[in-house]
Amino acid sequence: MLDDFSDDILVAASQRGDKSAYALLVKRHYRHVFAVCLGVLANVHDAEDIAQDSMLRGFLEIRKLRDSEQFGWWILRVARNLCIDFLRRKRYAKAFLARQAAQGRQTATENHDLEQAIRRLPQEFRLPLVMYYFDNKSAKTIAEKLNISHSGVCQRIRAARKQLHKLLTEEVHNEE
Amino acid sequence: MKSNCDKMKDRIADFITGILPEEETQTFQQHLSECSACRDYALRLQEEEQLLTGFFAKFDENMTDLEDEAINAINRFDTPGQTTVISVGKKIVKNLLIKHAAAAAVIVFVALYFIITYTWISEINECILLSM
Repeated sequence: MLDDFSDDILVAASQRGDKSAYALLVKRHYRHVFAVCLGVLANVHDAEDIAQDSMLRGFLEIRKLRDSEQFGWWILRVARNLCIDFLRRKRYAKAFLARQAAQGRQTATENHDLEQAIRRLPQEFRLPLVMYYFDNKSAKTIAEKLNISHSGVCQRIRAARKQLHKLLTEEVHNEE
Repeated sequence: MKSNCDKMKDRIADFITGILPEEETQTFQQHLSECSACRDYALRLQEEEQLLTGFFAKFDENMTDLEDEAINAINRFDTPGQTTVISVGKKIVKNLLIKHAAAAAVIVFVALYFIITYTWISEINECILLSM
């Protein structure tokens, strides 16, 4: 029955400490949070950990949320911030970017399945791409969630697809 | 022709991915019917599209387990209400400490002021008495 309630009702209940209401918000939003974490971190296990941390942080800080209808957008922002903290905390950022740049330059000679190719995409392209496939292929929804224009999302998805094709084609040629 | 194909690659990528505006599909399909190179490119992108869709679909298989893990982690924590009471309590204690410290500083400052002033006036009086 609680399933029928809108986010703002569930948020209000969660703000009073109702864990069962928050559990429904988790069920409703977890996969989007996971998509953001995967898009930013490019690592499935890290994405699982940070997605869980994000939902927990969301619960602990839900009283700070003023506009309860904005929960979906707010929890994604919590997730993105935690991903950035995670990269920073592990002194990951520098090594991560250096590795990405190096990977971008090198030809496809090793470990080049689809997952590797996605991992090698720049984060600005990878995040909208991952969200697009997690979000029923709705560029409009992603534009709202990332707070960028619809055409901006389309451009990034297109760039990601073309770059992905290039990486996968390199792989096939190198295997030959 | 080649530059036309280069431009068309954007539209092919958009069409296969599902973001090409409907009004542009006719031009795109017209070009595909005439250009075998672009048809091959479209076919390869279509294969990759299926790979991508399958790749992301596999995450849905254990999404329920991940959601349950997150819910279990939340259930192990105190409710926000309890957390807030503790943090509000800490703030009150912290505020009281600051207020007491400020009051003590004012009292010490006023006392020092009177002591110094009293000493100074006494010394002046002594000087006046000696000079007389």
